[in-house]
Amino acid sequence: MKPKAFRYHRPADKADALRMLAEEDEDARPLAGGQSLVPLMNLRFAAPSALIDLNACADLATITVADGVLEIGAMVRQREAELSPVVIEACPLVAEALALNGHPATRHRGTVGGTIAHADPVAELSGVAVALDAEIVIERQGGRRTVPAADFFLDALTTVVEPGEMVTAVRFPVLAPGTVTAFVETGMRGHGLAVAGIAAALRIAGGRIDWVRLAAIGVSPVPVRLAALEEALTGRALGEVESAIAGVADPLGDADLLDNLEGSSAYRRELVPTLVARAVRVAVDKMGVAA
Amino acid sequence: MTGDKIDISVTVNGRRYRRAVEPRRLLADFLRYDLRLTGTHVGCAHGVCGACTVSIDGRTARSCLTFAVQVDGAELETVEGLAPDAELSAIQAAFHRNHALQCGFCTPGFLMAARQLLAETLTPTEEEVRTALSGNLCRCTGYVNIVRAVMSAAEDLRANREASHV
Ligand SMILES: Cc1cc2nc3c(=O)[nH]c(=O)nc-3n(C[C@H](O)[C@H](O)[C@H](O)COP(=O)(O)OP(=O)(O)OC[C@H]3O[C@@H](n4cnc5c(N)ncnc54)[C@H](O)[C@@H]3O)c2cc1C
Ligand code: FES
Ligand code: FES
Repeated sequence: MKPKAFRYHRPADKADALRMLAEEDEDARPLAGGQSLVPLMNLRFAAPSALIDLNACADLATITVADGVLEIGAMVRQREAELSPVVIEACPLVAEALALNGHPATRHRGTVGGTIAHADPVAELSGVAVALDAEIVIERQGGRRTVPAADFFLDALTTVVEPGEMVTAVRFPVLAPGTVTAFVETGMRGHGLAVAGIAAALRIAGGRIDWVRLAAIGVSPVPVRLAALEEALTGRALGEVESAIAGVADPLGDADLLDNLEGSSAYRRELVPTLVARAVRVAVDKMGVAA
Repeated sequence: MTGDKIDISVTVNGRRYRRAVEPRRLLADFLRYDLRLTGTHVGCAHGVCGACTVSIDGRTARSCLTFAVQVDGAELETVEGLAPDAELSAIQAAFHRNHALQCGFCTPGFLMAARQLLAETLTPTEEEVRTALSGNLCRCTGYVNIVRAVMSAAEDLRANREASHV
């Protein structure tokens, strides 16, 4: 298989990359890990005029923690973030979600910025970003803006990033001590793409859920924050989790539901409470280990 | 100018190659057609099957999702590098012993993925082996013997390591 011919640029750093993006035409694309873009090019579903290969931009591949924020550069490999002690300490949900994204060989190349920018409806990390109110840093030559994850995803494979712009980093909150997390998903095969999944983070105080954040991937074209379930679970004792979840009549509200070969919208509607209950259980079970 | 060739220099299995490639040349095709290293197989060419797995600077990657221009200056290993002296490596020998291949089309990718895992740990659980190999598809074996072979290779490598410590 052969992709359509393209112009190839290999900027040495972020400034160089932003300049090339500004100079190229509207059909130029950044090339990150290539794990989604190159399949599309091989199948000729995508035919960019030019690729701006970000793989030599070391200044886009840093992980830092400052002022309660874990900032992961766009070109940090998924595998590196998954195994990074800094990430695991500051925001373990990021590492847990990435461990479910593809396979070791795809995560060696695939990047944190690439999965966020690609905006696949089943991308695990997008769910974490929405659950935890992460911020996406977007830059163009001479400009920078920061967009909350809740406003970043517009539709399947569509984000607020404009031609000439690129994602340069994702900013996750450092989780407070005592926070427990879980990413659970279900799919057609154990290690394959998810049909749906849940990102969960919570804290317990005096035997009750004190704080909880939940988002679902794979049920809608964009990740869905499960605000009604968060509200229903807050203040509940651990023994009341299942009944509290069952008490929410319509956890997905007016979200647009996916309906495809992997599952009907009715199936997805049923999956959400089941997966949320499982995620809470998995997260709570970790307290034993942490305490 | 889109089709202009770019000069690259790459080390594959310890040997240095210089070639001029079109930017759209996939690494898998570069290895197979330009370097005539046909051990790397192409099953799907869109990232699904893992048959094209090679190692780039010490980490496994799909050569059908990487452009040859991107490996300029890199060190690659392919399945041909596993047995340079025609003697099977521990992982290859374990595949042979355990009937971990039938048609053999998927085998180069499985060998490279297994090698990555055993470079990271020599005491994997069966579940860890399955996770490490999850990106590789086999249409013949049903995976059971592949998993068994990797567990057996791990055991052999552990025994070797202990032997070389005494
Ligand atoms: C076998 C296989 C299994 C997979 N399984 C999963 C899975 O379970 N879950 C999952 O979420 N994904 C999965 N993926 C997709 C994989 O995670 C990709 O790595 C990810 O979607 C894209 O990241 P990338 O770095 O490879 O980006 P690329 O493929 O290089 O780019 C993807 C798109 O994003 C754009 N882009 C990349 N970086 C930036 C940036 N910094 N700013 C703006 N635009 C940018 C590109 O132009 C392109 O349009 C799988 C892929 C394969 C091959
Ligand atoms: S040929 Fe590369 S993954 Fe199938
Ligand atoms: S042995 Fe035939 S595909 Fe694996």
